[in-house]
Amino acid sequence: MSATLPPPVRPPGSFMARSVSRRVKLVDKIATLGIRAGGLGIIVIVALIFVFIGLETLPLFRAARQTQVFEQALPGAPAAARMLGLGVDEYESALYYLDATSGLVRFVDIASRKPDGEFPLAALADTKATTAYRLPVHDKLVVGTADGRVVFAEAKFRVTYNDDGSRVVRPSLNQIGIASVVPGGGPVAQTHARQNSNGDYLYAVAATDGRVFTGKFVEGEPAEEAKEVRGEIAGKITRLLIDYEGNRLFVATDGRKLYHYYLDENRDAPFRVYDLPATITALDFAIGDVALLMGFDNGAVESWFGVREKITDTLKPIRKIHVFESMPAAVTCIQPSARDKGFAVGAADGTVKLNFSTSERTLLTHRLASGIQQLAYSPKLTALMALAGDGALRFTAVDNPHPEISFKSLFGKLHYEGYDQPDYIWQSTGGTDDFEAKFSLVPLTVGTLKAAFYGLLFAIPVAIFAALYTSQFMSPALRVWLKPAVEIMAALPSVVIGFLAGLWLAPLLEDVMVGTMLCVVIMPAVLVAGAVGWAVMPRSVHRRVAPGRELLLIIPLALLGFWLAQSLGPPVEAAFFNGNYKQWVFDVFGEQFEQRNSVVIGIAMGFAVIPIIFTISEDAFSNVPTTFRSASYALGASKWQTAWRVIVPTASPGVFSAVMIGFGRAVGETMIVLMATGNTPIMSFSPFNGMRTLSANIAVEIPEAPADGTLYRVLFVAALLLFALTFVCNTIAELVRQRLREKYQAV
Amino acid sequence: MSTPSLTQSRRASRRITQLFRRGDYLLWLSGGALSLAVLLITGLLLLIVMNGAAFFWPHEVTLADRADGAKVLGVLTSAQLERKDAGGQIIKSAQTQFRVGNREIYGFDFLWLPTVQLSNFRTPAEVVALEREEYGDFFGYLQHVEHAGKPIATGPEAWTALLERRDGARELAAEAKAIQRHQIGEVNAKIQKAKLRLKVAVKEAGGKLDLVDSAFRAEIDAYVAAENVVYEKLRAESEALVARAAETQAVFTTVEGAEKKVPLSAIVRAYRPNEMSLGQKVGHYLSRAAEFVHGEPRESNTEGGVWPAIFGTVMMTIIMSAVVTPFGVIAAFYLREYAKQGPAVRMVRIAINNLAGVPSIVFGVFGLGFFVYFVGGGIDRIFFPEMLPTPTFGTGGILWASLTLALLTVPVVIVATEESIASVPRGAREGSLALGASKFQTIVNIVLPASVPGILTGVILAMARGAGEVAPLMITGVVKLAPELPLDGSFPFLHLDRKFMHLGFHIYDVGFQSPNIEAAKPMVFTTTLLLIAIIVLLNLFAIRLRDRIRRKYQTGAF
Repeated sequence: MSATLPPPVRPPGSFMARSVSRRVKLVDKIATLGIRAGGLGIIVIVALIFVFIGLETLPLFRAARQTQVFEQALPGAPAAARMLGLGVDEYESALYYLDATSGLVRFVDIASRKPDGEFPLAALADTKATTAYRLPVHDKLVVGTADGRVVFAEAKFRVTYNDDGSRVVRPSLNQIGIASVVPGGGPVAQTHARQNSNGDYLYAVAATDGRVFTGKFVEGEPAEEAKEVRGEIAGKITRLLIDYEGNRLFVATDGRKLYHYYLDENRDAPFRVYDLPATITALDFAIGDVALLMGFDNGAVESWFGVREKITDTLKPIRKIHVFESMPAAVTCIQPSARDKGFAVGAADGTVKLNFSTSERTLLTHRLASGIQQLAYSPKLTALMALAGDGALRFTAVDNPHPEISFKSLFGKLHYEGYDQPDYIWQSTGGTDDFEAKFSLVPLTVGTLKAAFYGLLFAIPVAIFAALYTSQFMSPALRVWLKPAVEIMAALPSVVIGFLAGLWLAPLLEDVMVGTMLCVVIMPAVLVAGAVGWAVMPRSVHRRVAPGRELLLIIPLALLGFWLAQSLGPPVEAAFFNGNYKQWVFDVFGEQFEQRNSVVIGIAMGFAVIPIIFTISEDAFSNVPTTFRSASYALGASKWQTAWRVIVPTASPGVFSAVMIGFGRAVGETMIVLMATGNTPIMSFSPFNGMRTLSANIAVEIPEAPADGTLYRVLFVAALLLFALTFVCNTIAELVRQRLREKYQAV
Repeated sequence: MSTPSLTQSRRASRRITQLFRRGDYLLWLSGGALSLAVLLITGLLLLIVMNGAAFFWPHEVTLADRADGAKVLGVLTSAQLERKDAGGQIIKSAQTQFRVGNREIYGFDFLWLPTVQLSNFRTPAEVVALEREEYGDFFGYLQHVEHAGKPIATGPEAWTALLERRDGARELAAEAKAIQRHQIGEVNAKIQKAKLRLKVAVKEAGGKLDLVDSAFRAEIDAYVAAENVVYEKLRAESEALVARAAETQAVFTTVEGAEKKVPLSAIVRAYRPNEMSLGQKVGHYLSRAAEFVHGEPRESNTEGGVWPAIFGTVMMTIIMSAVVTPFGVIAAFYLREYAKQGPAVRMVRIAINNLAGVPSIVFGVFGLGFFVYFVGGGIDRIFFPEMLPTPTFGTGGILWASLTLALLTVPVVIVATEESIASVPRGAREGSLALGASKFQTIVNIVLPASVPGILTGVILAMARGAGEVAPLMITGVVKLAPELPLDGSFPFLHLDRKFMHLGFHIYDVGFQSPNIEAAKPMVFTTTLLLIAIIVLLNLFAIRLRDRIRRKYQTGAF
């Protein structure tokens, strides 16, 4: 619009008379400065909007930050190999470990690195601990003994507050119970355990002689007898794993094999045996007990989980899904996080890495002097402890706010837990802690494009032909009335269109769908018939209607066509769709017909976009120099021939820019899609279902997203994407329009 | 020689071939596209006007017999014709819908019944319709009116007694509400303030309660205790009023014969729709329309009025205009009069035109991140640290929503202002400069006055756009129910940090988030009508203004 304005008047600065008072000059100078500052300021602020949104998204892609708090041997600690079940409390005030030599659980104050209490584990009075597993949550220890028993204990932290509000944490130890597992009392070599939602323990134990037992222990009740798991297991057991249902058992051996049991189905033979390229030396579940995190003696780190082979399968064999950065030496331990799908890995050369399962990102790396014995990841994920073979313990503060985001997790296909193949999925929040957030923006982008596509499918023909008619064939008297009507259509708030589309149109359209689809054919047919009828009318009738006022005939004809189509709807539905088009859609396309579908969106979005395309293309058509038209008429072309072969090609860049701007508007439209679709993020271009768009997604989710959290920043990425989409469209449109103007000026 | 009819038919067939060869039938098709657009907009406006305006009309309440001997009483709302499949078999029989009201008894508002099972439709004059504070409408028969458990009027007198005594009961209830709202609210605010003072003192004294001056502590404690006494007194007073208001009850029977007691204070309106005269109906209509415009919402916004939403919308639009006008005008004057014209300014123009096409939700996201969390959070840390972690400005509010919309609408004002500056005749400007005026004097005295109507057009268009925008507001400060208006009698009168209600969001919220969407629909239509009326009026005003300016300068003498 602005470029059509006449050039501004620029008075030369020296124009002012010398007699003008200094005050006037001063005011003028100040005003110049003020307006310059204000004008530039507002332009800078506007530019800043997008810089700001971009800056908000940057932290998503930054690696985790680590700060070494200390690295030292702990006073009074035994050899590193005798320190078992290393852990740290929620407040990161005290760390603890089980001293296998003395049977004491020792607490160490983290701030001072001084002992903070030691508590004997009563069950270890007359035997020794051989192995221990610490559950990732609630500081629970499961200790295997030399006499074939399993001891359950917990480190407790009583929190009190001083008068000044400072926190005091007092550790203590609580022995929960003992279960005799290995008949005859052979020593326990490996143990693993889980707690189910009732708090009962499900454990698995490997004895040194290679036998495997599983059992359930309920606090406060006499221990149930452990049951042996049978089946040929070749090689020495290196690690074993049981899930919280006590059903899935995994046994890894140094024969490069992994045995997979479904205990509820068959305790006597494994469901599958997997041949591996190397020996598993570290194994645990990521939170949720779906994905197995594996570390191998060749340094490989992988995550595997169950995938159905057939859709009917209930038992799922596991498969390699994610591969992480390789460790330089054999993996010695894996420590899953208690809150997300992250985990720490330690290797025999002292390397520690923090990985994230979903995004396959390696978030941080550091190295200790000798091989890693134990790792502990604090419950709030803000600290990582690594114990090296030489007894040095490194305590690292970790700032890792957005581990789940990588470029791939936003735009690529990822294999999420519980899914049978990699997919694009948006599912930002779940009910539980072990929920795997899925942040793929692809289904939202597809939904955005789908909504815009169906909107434009309706809007483009209607708006462009209407604009052509208005600018070329209509009498000016009618035009004066019509343009404000369209301008008002443009001013209608989208919340109103969305409300009508969602609550009025969608249920109505469900009933008259067939008739409405028939309109596409019948309305033009009726109009053509009308044109024929008009052509054969005698001249005397023609003369009664002033030229350019045919519209007054066309409107009733359009209404007639609409009515005809609607009354033909039910018989057509009965004849061709067995009286139920929804069932027909399901039978033929295999798709459920949703009430809030793309047809509703197409009409509603079309309604919002028509006035924009109409106004701009009408401008483009009207701006074609009248000489073109006169020349065409002079050569004997008809009205339509002139319009179609002369006006439309000349104005086509303008029409193109109208479509681009209409597309930009459709892409950014929020309220219509929010109200008139089911807001399901699906990857389908089918007209029978709805979509969720980027904009509606932001509107739905950002009020619930905590500031500066991952979801919050991902929604900023969505906003940036939306901005980029519209910016590109609008810039192209603007450039095309400017070119067009230059062309007209040349004519 | 051919007969005249033959010539006619030959001429006709020639015309038809010509019609198709020259493509003029397509002219009719493009006319069809235009008429479709026109029909869509008129249809939509008609739909809203009809549905929205009909909401307040007192509809007749119909009584009908059902096939099983039972009766149904309600307003006829809609009917569905029977549907047959290809073989002529009836898939779905004809249905009739009643709005039966009495939500707390039936558990639903609407009832679909097969039309064949219904007979003997009639509209008995004695049917009473109630609009209540809770549970929506009630339809039934008035039995008697009782006071403190004793009947005081039965039969025909009951109706007059109900109408007479209702105002008194309503007044008592309103009094109780006023006490709860204003006086108790004031006491609560005082207690809050005192506690906050103590909290600040504790913080200043190093975080420990013991370190605070004991005299000060005692003073605060005594103050709080005294205010608590006042609070208890007010509460007892309001409870007594509520009890007194509820003493008088009207006893009704439903169509099934069940007895239902309704306290007179809970009856917003009682009327006998079947015996109302046209004048009474119009009066009823106007009274409900008036309540809609200036009343408070009831029943989670699905009944009552939308006054807070109107107020919020207008308030936000005013703040927005107050911000966007000076900034937009200064930016336009800079671009037009001061900036060096060249590729840079051309880029800026493209950017500004582009900005108008940026989705509103993107502005909302910026408003939330920048205004609410960054600026608002900063203000809280500097000026209101004692309130933290409860945010004051660090949460959505009317100021942030208005600023966000100001950013959204600034291109409209810039473009309109530039256009009107450009249309100021060159001669007027040169005349001023020739007389020795400075550039700024020329701008202030010549250019600005001449372009005021154009600027005003831009501002009005910006207001219309701002008033209709919902998406960015949803995330920067609009709520479904704001307890207080952003402008009231308590210091500092204009509360820029408060959340507010908005007509557009009201439509979204009531239409899509309320528990009983079907029953709320008429209300949404009416709100829509109100919003559209505001926006269309603003737009028409802007269009008129613009046309007038154009005409003025077309015939200008320069």
